[in-house]
Amino acid sequence: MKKRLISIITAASMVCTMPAGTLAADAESTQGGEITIATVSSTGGLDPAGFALDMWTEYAKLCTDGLVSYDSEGNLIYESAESVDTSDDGLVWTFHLRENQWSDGSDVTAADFVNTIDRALDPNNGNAIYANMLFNISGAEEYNSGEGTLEAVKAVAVDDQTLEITLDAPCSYFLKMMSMPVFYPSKEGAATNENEVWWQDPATSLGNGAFTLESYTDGVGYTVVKNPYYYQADKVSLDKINVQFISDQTALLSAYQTGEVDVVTGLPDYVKDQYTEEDGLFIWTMLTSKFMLPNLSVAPLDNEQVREAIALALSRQQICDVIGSDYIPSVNYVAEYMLSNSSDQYFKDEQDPLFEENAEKAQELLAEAGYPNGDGFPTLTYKYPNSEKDSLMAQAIQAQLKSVLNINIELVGEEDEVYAQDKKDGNYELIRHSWTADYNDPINFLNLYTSDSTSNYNGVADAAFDEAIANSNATDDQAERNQYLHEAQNILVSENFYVIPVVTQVYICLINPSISNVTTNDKGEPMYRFATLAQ
Amino acid sequence: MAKYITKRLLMGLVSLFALITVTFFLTRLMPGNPFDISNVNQAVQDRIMSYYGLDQPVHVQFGMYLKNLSHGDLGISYKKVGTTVNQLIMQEAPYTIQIGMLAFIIALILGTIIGIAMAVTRKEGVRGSLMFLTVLGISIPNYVLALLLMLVCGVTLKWFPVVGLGSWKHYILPVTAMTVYPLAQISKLVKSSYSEAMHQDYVIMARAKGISKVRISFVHILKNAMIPVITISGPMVAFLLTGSFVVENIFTIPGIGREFVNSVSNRDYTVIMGLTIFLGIILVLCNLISDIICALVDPRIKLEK
Repeated sequence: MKKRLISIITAASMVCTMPAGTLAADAESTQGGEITIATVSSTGGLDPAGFALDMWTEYAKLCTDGLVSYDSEGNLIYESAESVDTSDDGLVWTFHLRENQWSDGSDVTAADFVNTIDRALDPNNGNAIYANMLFNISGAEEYNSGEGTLEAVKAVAVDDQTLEITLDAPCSYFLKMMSMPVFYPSKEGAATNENEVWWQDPATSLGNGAFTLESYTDGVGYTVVKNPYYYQADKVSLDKINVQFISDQTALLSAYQTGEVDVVTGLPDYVKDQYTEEDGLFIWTMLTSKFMLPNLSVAPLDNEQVREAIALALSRQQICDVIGSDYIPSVNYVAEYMLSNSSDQYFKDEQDPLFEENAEKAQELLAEAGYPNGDGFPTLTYKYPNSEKDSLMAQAIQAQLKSVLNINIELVGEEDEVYAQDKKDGNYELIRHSWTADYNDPINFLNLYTSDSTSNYNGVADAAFDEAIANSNATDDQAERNQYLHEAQNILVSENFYVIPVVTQVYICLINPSISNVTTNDKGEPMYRFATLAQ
Repeated sequence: MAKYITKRLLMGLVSLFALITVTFFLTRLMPGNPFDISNVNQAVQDRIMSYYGLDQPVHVQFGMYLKNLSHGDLGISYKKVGTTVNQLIMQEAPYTIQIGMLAFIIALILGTIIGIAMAVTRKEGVRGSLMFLTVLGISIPNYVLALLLMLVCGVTLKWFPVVGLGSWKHYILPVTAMTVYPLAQISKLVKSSYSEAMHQDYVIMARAKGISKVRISFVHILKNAMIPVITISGPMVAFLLTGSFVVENIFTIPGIGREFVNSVSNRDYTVIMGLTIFLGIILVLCNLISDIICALVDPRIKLEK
């Protein structure tokens, strides 16, 4: 099962990362054409300084070029920036911009990047959900909290082509963060906080990427057309892309089957058995980790042996057999498909597995903790959001812990918001947690559990862990930094089992086989900016 | 009549106020908040909450809400950036109303015809099969029907498109899914009241006077037979106009029904409130209108009671 899946993934990514030349030369593909993409989420908006969720991500892949990005192998790609300099102390980052134009023909300047940053930090912006991603810029946090001034924010346009950002402390993963919306440009003067819906109007919602907005209809979708001013316009083949909001899974699949949409994402797992790559199956290897969070202030979960026993007792393959083939067993907290910074491997492959499932050892550990054969072990509750997949996962976990450790788990399925609140309040014993990377770097997972993190929901307070994270932030040598990150993950998982990894998830997508030259980025997401349509 | 309408409208206002109060406090009792999105930093979340005044005590928020409401301002959506709830309703209601009214008109016309046919036919086979279809129509839930229509007529036979409301063809499947239940209900109702009316003395009298069969059927009998239909039309229209989450979700129609359910799971408080008020007004008005029509059709019905 696992082998087959991996071969599908490899094959899919091979198809999708084929060099542009081979497919462009294909006799069947032509210039022009129009495709329709379905997108699940219509929450938020298209303002990079605002409520930028999945809807923005889909849009930005088509219409906006950030400073730099990464390809599926983790290689740096210069987008709007032509080169980047860093000062010796690692604090000053200078981005030299290439000559490029917005879709109205005006130049893309450093001020356009500063525009997004300043608007996101504006204390009167009620939508800037990613403002904190800018907090390592000097003066940013102070301005955002209403104490500092805009002038003190050290993200400045030195001239039209030069953007200079000064940090409070060195940050060796700063370029990785450039995939966050707040580092994308928005046209100065056109995109303002006074007009909250500037991004809906094609006159103010300009693109500096392959496409640009043509029309936006709330609740229905939007249309983008080729941007003639784009510096790589000769590589862009499609004339038009329609993006349609479809939230229902059955509707998604039906719309693909009737040919009304060409690209659908997030399909039910049975689709994987019904379609092959030739029919358009595409596996998006997400940077997601689903894990159990033990509440460290609740007995007996405050005992490391108990946590370890639970981690070792689970058979992750069996759990995935129950939940569906879009789930993959994982003993890693940092997402399975997270690329390493210092090798061309996945981060997880750079060391031995963090732990191995072992029923007997789990029983021994539980006995050593004072609960031989589960005797005297209290019934623990396990909370999870009430979705079908999470319920199946919960039931599998409950059954396995009963049969291996003879302990009782009471399942409490909760509505999403209730679950989120309980998790945040620490109102649980065991809870399912899930994290999807904001940007492709292990630190995005690991720094959630430093003792001062606001996302540290189960009370991890480990000096050794904090130190490993601090060390990793202090060095600019990627190999050394990588060592610290592994050390941090070891402390978090294999040494203390503060978190108990269970599975990772992939997105099942269908892409009309007549569309070729679809690439993937470092997050496994399909990209259509240079896609071509066969006749 | 005017006095009655005024009285009913005032009562409607009182019920609306009760509705607003209960809904407001219930939404605030739900755990979570609109900005509880998985990767959002807590400090940022707190700042956004206070920007929208959501950190104030609930009764203060309620006072603010009532004050804005008195100017007809339903507030702004937290999740749809830059969109006011008024805009949202103006934009989404037309889709839902189009589908709902089409479904109602078709159900009313077809339902009346089928009901009369069932009442007057002497062929057991015809009556039996129509009756069977009616019972089927009442018992199939619309989510099953909508899926069935989509998979059979859309995906397999490819007769109709299944996404959105782009052309007239797009309307057929969702309208059908919405029509079947009210259609079956009206047929059944017309059948029973029509067969009852058929045997009334005044019908025999009319026949004896030699009035044409068609005139007797459609004027004399139908007028009486329709009164129960008009009575249930009020709630039925309200039900159709408030939209069906399932039908709108499956056929990707950007209407009120889908928005309502989404707003609850999104904790988009202002949208929940705005839609509740909108739906409340529709319900009050539809009931009032159906009562007035009843009184116009049958002068024996006294409104002032």
